[in-house]
Amino acid sequence: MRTLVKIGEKAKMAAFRAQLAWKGRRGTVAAAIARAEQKAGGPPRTGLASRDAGRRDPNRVRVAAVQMRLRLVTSGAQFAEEIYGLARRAAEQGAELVVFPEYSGVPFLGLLPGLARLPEDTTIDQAIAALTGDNAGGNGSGGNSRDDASNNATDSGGVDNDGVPISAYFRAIAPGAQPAYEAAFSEVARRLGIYVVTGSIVVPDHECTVNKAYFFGPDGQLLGTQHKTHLVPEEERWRLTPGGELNLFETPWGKIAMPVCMDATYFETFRIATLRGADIVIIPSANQEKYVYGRANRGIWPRVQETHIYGIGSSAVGRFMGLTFSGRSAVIAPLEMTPGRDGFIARAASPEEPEIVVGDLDLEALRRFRAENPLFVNGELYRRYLPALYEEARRRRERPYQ
Amino acid sequence: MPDRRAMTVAAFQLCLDLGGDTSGATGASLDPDPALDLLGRAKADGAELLVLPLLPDVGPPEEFSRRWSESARKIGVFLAVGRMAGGGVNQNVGYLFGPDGSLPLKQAQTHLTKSELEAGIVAGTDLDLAELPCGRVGFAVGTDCWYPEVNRILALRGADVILAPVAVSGPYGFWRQAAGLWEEVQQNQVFGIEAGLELPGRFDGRTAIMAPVEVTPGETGYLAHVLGPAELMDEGHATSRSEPTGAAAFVTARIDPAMLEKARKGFPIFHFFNVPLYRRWFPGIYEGGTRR
Repeated sequence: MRTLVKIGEKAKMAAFRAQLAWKGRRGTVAAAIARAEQKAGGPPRTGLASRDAGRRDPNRVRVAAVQMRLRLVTSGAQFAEEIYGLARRAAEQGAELVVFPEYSGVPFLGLLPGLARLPEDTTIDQAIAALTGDNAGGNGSGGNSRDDASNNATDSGGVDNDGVPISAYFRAIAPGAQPAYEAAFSEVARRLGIYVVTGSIVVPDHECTVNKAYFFGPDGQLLGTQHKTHLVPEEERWRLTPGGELNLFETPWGKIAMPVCMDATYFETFRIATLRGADIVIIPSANQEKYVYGRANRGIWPRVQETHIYGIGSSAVGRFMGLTFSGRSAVIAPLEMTPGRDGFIARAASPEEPEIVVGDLDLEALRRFRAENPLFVNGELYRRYLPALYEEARRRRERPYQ
Repeated sequence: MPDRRAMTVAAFQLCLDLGGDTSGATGASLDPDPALDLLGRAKADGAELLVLPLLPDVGPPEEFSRRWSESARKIGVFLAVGRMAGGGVNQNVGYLFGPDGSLPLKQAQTHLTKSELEAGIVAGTDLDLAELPCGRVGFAVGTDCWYPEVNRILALRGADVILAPVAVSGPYGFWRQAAGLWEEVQQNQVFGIEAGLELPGRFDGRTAIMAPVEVTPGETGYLAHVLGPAELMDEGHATSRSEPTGAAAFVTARIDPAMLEKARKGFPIFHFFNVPLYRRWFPGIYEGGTRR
């Protein structure tokens, strides 16, 4: 009898995997985007020769941050249509580099059988409890709340009732989600002739599970990826693993880096990126908290001021699986380079509504600014204390938290 | 580790009036004696730690030190004050005097602007701390407020409070302050006490006492601000430049180690340091990097 149960379970898993593979097929995704393009009246008119890489101006680039509401999807095709629509709106405004928010791939949780049919405000923990038949389901959360300890008093601690970490569920859908995610953004980049930073998706990386961002070029080629290097408490509870490196990518406009969300809370991220030659740093974010200026202004904006570069921040907004995301996507520069001397080239009007934020970067102007305002380096001071003090300081501050 | 307790602190904005002639601004000195009355009022309000701006001084540094040491002793407070380069000294320096007139901390500014370099000012190469009842304190003097390395090193060494005597060339508005000590307080989860010199036509002041946003009114990151109620100090009330106070003024706030504990427990920033990443690049990248 037990053998029959095992055979039955294996058969179910095989069927689930086959279904995932079907829903994530590149051909399906590409066809969906082709239909979406046709429905929109054919290829967009961008006003720029953006499909001809040889004519890109290396000193000027129009960029766009997609402020996006996350919605569960049940297929790669559905995801691709939404992504295409948003990227097309950016390309129609002349954007050559388009940025999506962190967790843009989380909607693929809808591939879990039955999840998309649950009430809209069901949390991830509650959904998993419902799907696995467990009675207990916490008030769990995801995203990047800096008040996790107090908000998650009743959460599941990152595991289901069998002690399986939440990351396992992301791994379970990855055979369908990951190829569909990659195919969708690759095809969008190729069709629109733009560079795309995808935001991020939670996927396996060998034995680990990571929060991973992708960068695609205008012919659809994958230029590189970046794992989030500084987790939040919820991601640690989910058993995600932080990335170990900060990657730089060559573009016609110089080097860019794309660390993820909480990475921008740490000046070290931006300092490493800019000393290695980055002129533009991109931060996809998904801040799970009600918008308050003081909380929201602790990431990309001050980092840009410290390092004299351009920054592009893209935020997830709205309600998703019981979570509230907020943020004002923006294109950011050193204060003195911006019209209002406030560091913003362009900024979303609302922290809660979807929007495409478009801004123009002038790399020549940035180089002039840096020449006039050189940053000071105190090598002797840094050698004395960095990086030696980090471990000791962490131990000193370590406090138990839930 | 010694027991820590809450303290009331005061941050001063002092206005130098040179009769409209700012050309010799750094040739002036501020005599502490007339300021004693004001400092005494802060003490009467319960302040135990007073922070004054970065002040010009053309006399010998020993005389500067003696006069302010005497002020601290007379009033019976911890008194932090900055001294601009001058009088034979080529550094901007922060001094912390104890209630007994001692000098537990003296700190040279470690990062310089282009104009400071051109003026021949020399940077310090170390950052030190002192122990106060509210916790460990360190200095971010002047320009150091805008360098994250300074404030990170102070926090890594155990600082809970950053003292910031400044004299900021105008215009000095909301956003520039947000890019300075305000942000250093947030990314290190410490208290920050900024005391600004006001000199019409030259220096603007935005004296304030700061803390992690979670423990401040309106989550603005300010406990007190010389320009108005702390809970209003957000982007909705951002001004492109400050309005001068035109007089000496101070603000007070109570800083409590329990507030930092709450902020750090709510989100343990230090817990999530990516030390392998930092080890890979620091400090070598500062020498080999393409800082332009």
